[in-house]
Amino acid sequence: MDIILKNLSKIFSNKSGEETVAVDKLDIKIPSGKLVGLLGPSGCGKSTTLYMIAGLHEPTEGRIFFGDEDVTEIPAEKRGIGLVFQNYALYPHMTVRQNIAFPLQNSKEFRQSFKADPVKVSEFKEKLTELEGNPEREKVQAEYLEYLEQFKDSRKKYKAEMEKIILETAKIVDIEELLNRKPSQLSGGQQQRVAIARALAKNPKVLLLDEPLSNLDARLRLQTREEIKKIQRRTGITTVFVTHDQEEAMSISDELVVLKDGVLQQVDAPQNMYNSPENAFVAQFLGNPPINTFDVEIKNKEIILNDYSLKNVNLENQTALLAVRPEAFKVVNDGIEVKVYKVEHIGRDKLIGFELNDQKVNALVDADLDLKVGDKVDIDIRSKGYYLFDKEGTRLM
Amino acid sequence: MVGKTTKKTYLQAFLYLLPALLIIFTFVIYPLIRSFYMSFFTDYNIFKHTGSGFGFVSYVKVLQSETFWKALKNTAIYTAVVVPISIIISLGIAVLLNNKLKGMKIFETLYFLPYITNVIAIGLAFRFIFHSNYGFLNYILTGLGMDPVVWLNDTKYALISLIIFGIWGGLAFKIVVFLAGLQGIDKQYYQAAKVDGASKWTVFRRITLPLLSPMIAYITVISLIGSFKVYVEVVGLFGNAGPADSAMTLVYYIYELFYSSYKPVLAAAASVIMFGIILILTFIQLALNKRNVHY
Repeated sequence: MDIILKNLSKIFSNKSGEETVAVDKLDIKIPSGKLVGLLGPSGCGKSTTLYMIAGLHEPTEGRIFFGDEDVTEIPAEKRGIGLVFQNYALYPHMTVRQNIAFPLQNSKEFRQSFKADPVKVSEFKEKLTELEGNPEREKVQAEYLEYLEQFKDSRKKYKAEMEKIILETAKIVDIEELLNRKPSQLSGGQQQRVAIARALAKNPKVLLLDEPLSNLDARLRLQTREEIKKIQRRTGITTVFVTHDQEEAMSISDELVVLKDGVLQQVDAPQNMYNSPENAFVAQFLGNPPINTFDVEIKNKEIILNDYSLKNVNLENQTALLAVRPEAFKVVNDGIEVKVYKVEHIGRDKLIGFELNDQKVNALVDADLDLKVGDKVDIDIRSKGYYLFDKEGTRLM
Repeated sequence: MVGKTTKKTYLQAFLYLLPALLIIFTFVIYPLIRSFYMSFFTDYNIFKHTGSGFGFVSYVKVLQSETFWKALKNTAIYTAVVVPISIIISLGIAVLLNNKLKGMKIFETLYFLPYITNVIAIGLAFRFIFHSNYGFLNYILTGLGMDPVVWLNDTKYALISLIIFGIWGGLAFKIVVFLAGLQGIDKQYYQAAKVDGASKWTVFRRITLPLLSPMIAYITVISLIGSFKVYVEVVGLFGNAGPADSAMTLVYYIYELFYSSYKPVLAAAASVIMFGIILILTFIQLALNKRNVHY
């Protein structure tokens, strides 16, 4: 089921009447069955957007659709969503089992499914009085009794079904052995999984996660993000998660939504977005180490950086912003000469730092290159991995 | 400063605690021991600290006294009614106030006023409320078509009046504590419960109440002890122990033994008995809390 946000805005106003636009006219289509990351710096409105989808925040303007259904006015508990809070919000006085059972116990439909439908019962009764003295009556009577038979031991069946769902959900997130523990007896990662299990128990149409990894340590973060991806694949539920960590978002999302100041920047698959950012913000936000930017002049179809002519472009004369990915630099025999001031080994890569046009630049180079601090090398830019933006940040090339 | 407790830090801590310890010792511990000691004499001169006839005579006398049993019965009824009802009412008011009522600060102040007002003064005000001819309570009762009640001068109603007064007087402190407790509950639990489809009643029963249970336990212990020592309320409302001693409470009984009947030995014995009862009740209470306060 797709989630469609149409012209969605949220304006918060404080006591003195000042208004803050948290989310500004968002138009997004989140495709069904995908893992989608809402990415942006703090205060960009990503959590607000998530809470609006959840139904905990009311939009100031715009509509939210789940598939064809307009859910804007539907309260959170009736939207069929599961929500995992940033700090999990597990009920501290309940065991893991009770935490997972809680949404089920509150579900009227779930309880009702073990009881005879009162409408049907009264229908039967009506028929029975109607057929008074008719030989058909006995057949209806038998049908009626058979119908009631299904709901015998409803309490027992209810409990058994509940336990079955708890076990199934616990299995999905791998916490079967923890069911009798209290949240305080669990590690952060385990709490996270319990929170996901609780969100999944009601078999939601949409799973929403608010900063799911921010409370975990670095190692657990790597493990848990794989875990989330796996859970999403296993259940096939449309999942939206919020994060400010671009690496995290890039690594697990099927689709990325980048926001800034409440305004949509770009929606795309992570790799596409990395390879072709639509504006300077997206280019600068994605990638680690971050992209290098330079103020350049375009003159006579050439990109001029501090007297060097870097590349030829088919653009009018103007000032522009050149953004170069660290991996788009290469060391050559004859290029711009720079002095290396730092050399770092990041796993398999070698990161060098140098100054270009009085600006510190990070570049990823071949790890086999023998470089030391103070060395002078010639560098050039590869044919891919650099972008030009105009003053407003719109992509020129 | 986090570190090992050395002799020096221990001594330092002791010095800081000394002024408070001195006061507690002089006004609590010493009298406690003294009255315990005193209670075993048949006769005792409190000015010369000399006594005669060491034994359990005074205890036997107290336990044989009809007034003691009446006081104990009244106190027990008072406690058994006032503690649960005042807790339920104050919890209800606290929950209402916590629902972000407009002008909540004003309500908070209003509800806290009785706590900082002298109980005797409030007692005098309640005398007017309870007045059989001109009282507000009877005005309402007759308005509702009921017969007026002789609240303060009828032995049947004196204890009930005291209980009503006690409940009202105990609300302020409890409301403030419960409000603090409610405000300490993470809002996210309520959001989570909303997503989980919990009704308001379910939220209260399964989220608010358990998370508030440490506060409730604390308030129960405090008000149990407080109610058992009810005295000022009696004086404020009746000026004496009520018509025909019908609102006689344990502390009032002890006070009367000491100051009116000049029987310090009996007063001491009665205090020790009361001390024992409160001690046992508190232990039972703490044991129950351990089982019911889950977190």
